[in-house]
Amino acid sequence: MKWGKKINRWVGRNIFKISPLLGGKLTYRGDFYFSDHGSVEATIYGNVASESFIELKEGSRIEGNVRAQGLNTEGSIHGAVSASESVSLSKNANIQGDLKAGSLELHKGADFEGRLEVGIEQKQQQT
Amino acid sequence: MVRPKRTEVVCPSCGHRQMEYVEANSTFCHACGHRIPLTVKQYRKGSSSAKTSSVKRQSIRCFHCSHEMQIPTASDSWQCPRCSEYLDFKTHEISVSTGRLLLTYGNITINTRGYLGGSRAEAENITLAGGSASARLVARKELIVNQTCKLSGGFRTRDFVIKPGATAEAQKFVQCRNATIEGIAKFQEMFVSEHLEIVQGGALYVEHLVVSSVTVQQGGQLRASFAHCSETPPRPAEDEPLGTLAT
Repeated sequence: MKWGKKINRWVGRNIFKISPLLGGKLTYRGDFYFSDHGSVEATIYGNVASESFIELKEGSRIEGNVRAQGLNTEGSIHGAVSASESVSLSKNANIQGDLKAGSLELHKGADFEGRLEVGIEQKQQQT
Repeated sequence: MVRPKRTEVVCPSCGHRQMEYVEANSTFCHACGHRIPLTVKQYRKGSSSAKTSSVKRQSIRCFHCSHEMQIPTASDSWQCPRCSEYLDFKTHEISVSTGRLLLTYGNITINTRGYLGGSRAEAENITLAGGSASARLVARKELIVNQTCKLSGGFRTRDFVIKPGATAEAQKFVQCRNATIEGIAKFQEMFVSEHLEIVQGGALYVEHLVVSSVTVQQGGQLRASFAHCSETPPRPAEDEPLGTLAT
């Protein structure tokens, strides 16, 4: 198993300067935890969690649950997704599983199937 | 034998031109059947106030036989030349309980104490200022919910808007092209929309959601027991003629 904690190829962009990257178009097995912004360009068989945002690049795939502050995906996820803030599904993104989020942006061309709960927990906590 | 003089007459309703005897007092339009009083000079050709060029027309299809026809936009009603059915262009305001089949090319407004029964109601725009409807509603352009209302028959429209503070409940299939939820919507069956937007303060609770794209702003709520989102757009309502919209 490889942890891709390294200065990644997007050095020019601030958001990715210190972010860990699971890349190389490899396949990883096991659960992963990002303490910062996470960027995935690989296939992962396992759960993925982050205290911050996770970005799934095009062609990436997660076979497991995803929990993060926010999620921006162009890849596919087979499992439950839970995000306290925003979730964005770009064109060609695919999620098969339940989705919980604070806000949602699902662009035309994205596929989703499952139970959808957006803004529900957040509102209940406020009240 | 001297032939009586004839002159060209222009129908004030549809603009059709036809030849009529000069001494005639009235006639009927050969195209639309409208009665033309020939004593009024404005209908004769050459008169400075002839209205032929100013008649605006719209293309419609008959509710009953789908016959396509051109009619003046100012008309309140029309008769289909094929099936002879009455076609309504009036705006209806429902303030009491009514159970009739309401098919109009005008608008329908249902007020607080209004109830629309029957099997279905079709209109260009439908506004719900409260009230309820058990008829299936079909609005060609917009269906706007301004106050709390119950739509047990479901509805179908192009643009669906729930204003802030309003609540809409539907027990049957709901279909639209664009939905903007600023109030609260509770749909017990399937909700199909090409684009769905839930703004801050808005909420949508639905059993089965089918959409192409969704935007839920921060502070908005969406709960779907099952959601299916894909690029394949649901069948758009506006592409079909009003008179033939299936329920």
